Amino acid sequence: MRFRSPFEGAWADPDSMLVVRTGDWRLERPVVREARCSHCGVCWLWCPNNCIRDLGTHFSADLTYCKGCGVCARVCPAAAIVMREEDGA
Amino acid sequence: MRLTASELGIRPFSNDRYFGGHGACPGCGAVSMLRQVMQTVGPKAYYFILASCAGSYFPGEFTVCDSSIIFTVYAAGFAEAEGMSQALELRGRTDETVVAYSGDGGAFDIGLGGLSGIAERNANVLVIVNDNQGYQNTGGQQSGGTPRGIITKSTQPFHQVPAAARNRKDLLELLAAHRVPYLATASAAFPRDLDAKLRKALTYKGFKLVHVVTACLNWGFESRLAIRVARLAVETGVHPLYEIEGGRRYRLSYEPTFAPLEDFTRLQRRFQGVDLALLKQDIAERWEDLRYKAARAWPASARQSA
Ligand SMILES: Cc1ncc(C[n+]2csc(CCOP(=O)(O)OP(=O)(O)O)c2C)c(N)n1
Ligand code: SF4
Ligand code: SF4
Ligand code: SF4
Repeated sequence: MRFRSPFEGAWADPDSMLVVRTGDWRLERPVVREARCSHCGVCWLWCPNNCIRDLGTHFSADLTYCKGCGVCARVCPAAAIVMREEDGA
Repeated sequence: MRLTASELGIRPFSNDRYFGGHGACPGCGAVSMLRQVMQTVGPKAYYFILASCAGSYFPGEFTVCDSSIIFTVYAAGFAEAEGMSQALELRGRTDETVVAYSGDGGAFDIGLGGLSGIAERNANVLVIVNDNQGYQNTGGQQSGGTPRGIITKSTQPFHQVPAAARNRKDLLELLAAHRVPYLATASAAFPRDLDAKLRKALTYKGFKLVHVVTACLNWGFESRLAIRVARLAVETGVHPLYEIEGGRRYRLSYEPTFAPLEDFTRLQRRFQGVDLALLKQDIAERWEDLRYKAARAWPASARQSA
C-alpha cells in the first residue's frame, strides 16, 4: 500500500516505501463463496491485516498480504468463507 | 454475532487508515483493535509507540498507515507524547490528536512512572493500552497485567506458587486516583463500544485512557479464534467494560452474560492445569466493587462539574 500523507511525516518520499509481502506466510487461504456473502463487512472489520477488499457485491481477500489466520472465516455470520489448504497456485 | 455493516457504522469500506504488509503474528487481536482505533481517531494523529509488539506493526523502514508513527522507549514515551501535545498547542494546531500506544508491560510496569506523570499534569494525550496480559513481544513473560496463577514463560506452574502470591494490577483504579478526565475499558470484539468510547474520550481536553484487552497468540489458542477469545473475555466477566469520568463517576457500559469462565480458559494453553477458583474469586470481587461504585448517587453539583 502506498501513501502520500498530507501532513508532516518522518519520510520525505513516502511513495517509495516498501512493504512485506506477508502472503508468503500463509498455510491456508480464505475462499469466499460469493453466493453466500451478504456483503455485511464483518470480515473486513476484523481482519488483522486489512486484506479484505470490497468488490461491490461481495468481499474477497487480497492474497498479497493475507496471512491465512482464519479470523475472517470464524467471524463471518453467513459462514461464507472457507479455509482451503494453500497450494501456492 | 449478528451485526450488519450499517449497525457497525463502518461504511465506506475503502476509507482505510491501516494496511497489510506488517509483521504481526497471523490473527493478532491487537492489530484488529489498532485498526479500529486508527479508523476512529482519523489521519490527523501522531502515535507514540512504546517498545512492544507494535514495533512490528509499523516495521522500521516503512509504514503501513497514513498517520505519523514515532517509536520510543518505555521511560520517555509518555513524556514525549505530552511534549508533542504542548508543541501542537503552542502552534495552535488543535485539530491534531496525540496518541500514546503502550503494551501492558509499558503501562502497568516499566512506563508507569511516566504515565502517572502525564496523568498528574493532565496532558492532552489519548493513551491506548494494549493489554495482552504479558510481555508478549519478548516471548510471553509475566507482567503486572498478567492474571493470577496462569502459565507464562516466566512463571511456575500454578500449584508451585503460593496461592495469594500476587494479583493483577488494576490500572484504571491507579489512574482514577489521579482524578483524570476520562478512563475506559474496551474490547476489539465490541467495535461500536470501542468507537463510542474513543469519540467520547476525544471530546475531553486532557488526559484520557482507553484500556483494551486483546487476544494474543502467546495465550495458546488457534489464530482463527482471536476475536472469539476477546469476546469471551468480556462475556465471562474477566474484562468488564466500563468508564470512569473525573476519576470518580463510574458507568458500566455493557452487562455481560457471565458465561462460565471455563468457556474462555479451555481455548487457551496458558490456563492448562490452572486452578480457576482464585481467578473466579478475583472476578467476583471486581464486579462487586464496580457495581457498588457505579450505583453511587451523585450530588447535583458533582454531576455538573464531572
Ligand atoms: C527498558 C527496557 N527493558 C526491556 C526492553 C525489552 N522489551 C522490548 S519489547 C518488550 C515487551 C513489551 O511488552 P508489552 O509492553 O506488554 O507489550 P506487548 O509486546 O505485549 O504488546 C520488552 C521487555 C526494552 N525495550 N526496554
Ligand atoms: S463476513 Fe461473510 S457475509 Fe459478511 S461480507 Fe464477509 S464474507 Fe460476506
Ligand atoms: S485469513 Fe486472516 S489475514 Fe487472511 S483475509 Fe482472513 S482474516 Fe485477513
Ligand atoms: S505476540 Fe501477541 S500481541 Fe504480539 S504480534 Fe503476536 S499475537 Fe500480536
